[in-house]
Amino acid sequence: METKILDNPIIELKDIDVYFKSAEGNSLKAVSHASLKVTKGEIFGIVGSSGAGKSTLARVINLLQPPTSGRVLIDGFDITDNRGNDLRALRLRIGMIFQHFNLISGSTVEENISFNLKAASYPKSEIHSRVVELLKLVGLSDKLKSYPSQLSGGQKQRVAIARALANNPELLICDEATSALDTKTTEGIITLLNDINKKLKVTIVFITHQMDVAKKLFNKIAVMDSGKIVEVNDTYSLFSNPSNPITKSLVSSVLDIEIPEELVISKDSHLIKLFYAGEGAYNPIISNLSKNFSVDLSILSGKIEYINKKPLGILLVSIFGEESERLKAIQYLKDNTTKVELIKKGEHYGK
Amino acid sequence: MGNNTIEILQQYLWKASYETIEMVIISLLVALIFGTILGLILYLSETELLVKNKVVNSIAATLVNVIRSIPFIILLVVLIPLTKLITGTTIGPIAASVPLSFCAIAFHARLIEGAFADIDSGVIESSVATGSSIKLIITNVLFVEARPAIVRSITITFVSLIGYSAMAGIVGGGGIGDLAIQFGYYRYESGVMLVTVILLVFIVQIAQIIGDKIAESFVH
Repeated sequence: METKILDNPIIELKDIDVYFKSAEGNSLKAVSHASLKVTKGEIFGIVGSSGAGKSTLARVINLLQPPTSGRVLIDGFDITDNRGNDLRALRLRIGMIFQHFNLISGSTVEENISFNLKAASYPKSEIHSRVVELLKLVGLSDKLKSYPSQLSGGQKQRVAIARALANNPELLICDEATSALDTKTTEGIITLLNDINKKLKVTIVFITHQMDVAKKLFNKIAVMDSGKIVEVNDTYSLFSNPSNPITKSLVSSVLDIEIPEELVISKDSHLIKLFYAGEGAYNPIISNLSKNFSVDLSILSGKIEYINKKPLGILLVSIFGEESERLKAIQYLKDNTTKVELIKKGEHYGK
Repeated sequence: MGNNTIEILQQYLWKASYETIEMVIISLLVALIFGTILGLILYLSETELLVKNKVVNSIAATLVNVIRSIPFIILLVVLIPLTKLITGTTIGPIAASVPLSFCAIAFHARLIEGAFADIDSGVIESSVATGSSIKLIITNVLFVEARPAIVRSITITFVSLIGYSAMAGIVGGGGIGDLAIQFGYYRYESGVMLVTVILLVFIVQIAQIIGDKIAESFVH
């Protein structure tokens, strides 16, 4: 019985619907039949284009947005109907950071962080030392007395992270936390969140439309489109083998090669796109190909991405040679890579 | 400026100024307390993330709207029985402070409501997400973030009260405005009119400058 309790997902959303009523009385479905489970300790991403309902779904977790129907379970306990003190006690265990940081502009960094500690009735005499400790964690020890307007975007988000971690939450919800930051600052925040996840064992739920963030940070990803969760998978599998068209288009923004329309290939060749993932990515497939079959290869374009430190590659190759040899070579590729896509076969009127 | 003008001013200006200050300060203080509370109730009861309550909100809003829709000069007369009940008299600056206070509470409440409503909703959301109590959000977030707007609201209420206090002469309230009407208008003492107008402009300017400076010091 005990192990069963430990195995409870930290978050379980069951068949969540969220409707908004517009001024004209029409109801708009922001989230529809969304179910998901987040395991303790993981970094769980919710991705999708804007308006997909991911921020709304994230707000359901701490009931900033109560669901129209469906149940929310935290650590196995149904909290959907929690209100008042019960709800506040729950929120103390869940940190949250936002795209626009949302710091109290009229308060110093110290006062901003103290606010969260006061919310948890932290002993007054220990507030200052706890704030100092938190600022050290996010690398902003010298900003204690600064006002938010005196900080850069990245620094503001660090303060927001310090504030969200003040009461040692089990869970950190990040709503587009890097979307207002430049690439370099985003890297810094990603590294910080990765550290926090490892050091403090905080489960992170991260909402974003940035697939670059997704591939670097997430262990598992849910893809949302028009209020529905269309695909859930571990990050590597999702990038290497997307099944839903929406996922495919999101993934292709990170990992694809544009083929120029005007590309002309000679008549005794095939133009193919190769995808290789996992262990296969390390095998010398291309050199084996020209050794084992009487074909010549030319690599037109290529790209390797590292997702969760595992390689994922894509190559655009044209194969020259007798048609029978070419087909054998393509079969070999099909057997040894993740996916082979035939783009074009040389036409007779080609060069 | 004739001797007559100087005599009138010497005799009445100090007294009139004192009456104006008395009326304005009393009603401003009342408005600062009750107008702020009413404005806070209006804001809290209309905000989804805080303590949205349609019944409370419509009661408070109706109260404010009723007072605000009665022209001040009529409010002065309508409230005479209440004034008598509260102050025991219907004449003088203290008595005039009663209708002025009513007017100022309603006026100030709407300004305060606006000051809170202008706070970035993201800041409210992040404060609610911490699990903080409403009380802590009110003291540490709402009143901090709205501070510059609240100071500006107080300045506006003060300036409006200076204006309204000129009408208090109708019920024998006295004050600078009354002096201007009694002598400047009814007795064609243009000099008195001029001096009182300059004085009122001066008071308003000073109040505005001080208000702006304080508001600015709260902007970070």
